[in-house]
Amino acid sequence: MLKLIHLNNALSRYTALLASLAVIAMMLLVALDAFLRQSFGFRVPFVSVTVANYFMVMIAFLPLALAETEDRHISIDLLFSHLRAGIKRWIALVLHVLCALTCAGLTWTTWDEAMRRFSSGSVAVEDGASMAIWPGYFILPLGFFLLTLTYLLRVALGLVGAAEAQQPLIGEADVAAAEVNQ
Amino acid sequence: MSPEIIGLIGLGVLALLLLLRMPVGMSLILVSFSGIYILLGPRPAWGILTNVPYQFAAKWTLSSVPMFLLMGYVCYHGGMTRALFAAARSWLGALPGGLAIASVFGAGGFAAVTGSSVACAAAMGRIAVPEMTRAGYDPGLATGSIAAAGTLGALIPPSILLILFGIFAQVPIGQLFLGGIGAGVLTAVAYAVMIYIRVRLDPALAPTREDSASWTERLAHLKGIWPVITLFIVVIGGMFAGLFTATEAGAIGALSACIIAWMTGGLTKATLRQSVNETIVTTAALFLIAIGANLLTRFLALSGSGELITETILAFGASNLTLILGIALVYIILGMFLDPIGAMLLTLPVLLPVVGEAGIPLLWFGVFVAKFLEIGMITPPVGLNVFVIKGVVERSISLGVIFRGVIWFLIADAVVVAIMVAFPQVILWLPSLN
Repeated sequence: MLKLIHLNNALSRYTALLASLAVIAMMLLVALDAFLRQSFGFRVPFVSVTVANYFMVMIAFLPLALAETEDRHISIDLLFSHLRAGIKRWIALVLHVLCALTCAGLTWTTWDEAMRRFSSGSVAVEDGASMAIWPGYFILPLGFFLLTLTYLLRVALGLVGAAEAQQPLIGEADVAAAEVNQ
Repeated sequence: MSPEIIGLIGLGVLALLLLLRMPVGMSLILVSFSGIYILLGPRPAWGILTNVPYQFAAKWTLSSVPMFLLMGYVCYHGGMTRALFAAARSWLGALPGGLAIASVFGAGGFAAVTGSSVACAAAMGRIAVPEMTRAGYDPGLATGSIAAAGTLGALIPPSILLILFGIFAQVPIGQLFLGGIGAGVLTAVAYAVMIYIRVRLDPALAPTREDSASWTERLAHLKGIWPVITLFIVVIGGMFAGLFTATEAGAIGALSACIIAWMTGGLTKATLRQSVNETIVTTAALFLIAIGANLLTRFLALSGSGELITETILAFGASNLTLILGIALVYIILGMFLDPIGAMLLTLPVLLPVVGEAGIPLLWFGVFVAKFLEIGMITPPVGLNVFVIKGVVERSISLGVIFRGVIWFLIADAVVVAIMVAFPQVILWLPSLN
């Protein structure tokens, strides 16, 4: 089970790394475009298309699994924390199954859409020129697939009664160690 | 079963899942999809589930959210708060309760470069609470002032809360930012006045400092706050001078923050990595909820239950004041248990049509919602800002003492809200000039 946790953590970290690069790239590209427009009246082509259809999609969906791994998805801790440990375990198990099913549905349907976009070769048109946007559609099933895996891992952990099922899968020590190692 | 009943049952199931600690975004998506599936069948349900996530996230305007988040995190990890507090202390430290007042205005200054109240409270708390404790300040006053002052982070622009409200309610973000300045300044002044009056009445709360700063020292300290002033002028000034859009302002702000933090020695590989990591995780978590809220809006509209709720509320014949007070109560309660942005996104699908029908200006409502959600940040039992300060002071001050210290600020907040309701121009005046 520990190996599965490590595998999940590695997968979520590496995909989130792509989102990190997208954040930096988006910052530089948008700032450069604004600077060039103000100074020289020149616009970098396809800035808004690249930002919206690639960078934003990467930033929104690739870190979903990391957010779950770090237990950072927003939830309400009003009633749950007052329940008995045994009841908590079963409720968490059922909810993780529901989350996994929801994400699996999202993975399937967004993959289907990505394949459709790929087949039709979706493009965005700006000033008469076109730019392919279909690759961006594949980011969604990737993000949701990894999130599905993380929830399935939590289900497995819940079934064997491991405490990690309801806790961050990356401890603070792991995060610090990873930062030192990277 | 009528569609309206299906909609209302959906809302009930949503509440149950949320209470059982299912992530807000997941609960919204699951309930909305299931509801649309029952109402319209599989094809429309899968169609909406396929299209909404991409359509929502792939937006140029939305890119300001990760950019302003990054700017705030870089400023936070880059340690820009120390100079702010030092400057505020040299100018205001000699007043009764001067260190607490300086903390409030220091937090107000930091709020101008960060959009998060938790970051604001944590950054100022690490510096100001130990100093106030050393100066013999009452622990409740010392910690309460920082927890409350942190809420300025979400009112004074840039504010992530206001950006997302603007996108959902289709109110210009620049106008909301200007409205937020009115509420933020009013709040800071109210907190400062309250601290002053309390300490005048009970000087034991905050021993007077003998070592008031000279004018030379005061002017020297102002030099230290150039990073924050520069950032504010570049971002907010650039936006309102028409040099760039709100979206571009975020990217330019983030880049400027990186450059300034690097120049002042606050940007290392580790702080940049941490800032970027927090930016992407927060963005993904927020967008998942926003996608869910978008789906819920569609579910409520398709079922007609949204309209039913609006009609029912308005049929009571309640005045706008009663309506606003009712909404305020909902937000205070939600704010006690839920992250403010989550609470806002969760409720907007139901509340926006009601507020629109009642003729309440959405610009004013956005700032009002931000204010109330921030009050929830310092209200027991959860009050995130209070827990942040508790984390700073560790075992030296109990949670009960901090919450007792915060009560006085809640009274000041009640006065601020009363002024916002009685004189909406406090919020609407600045945007009307633009």
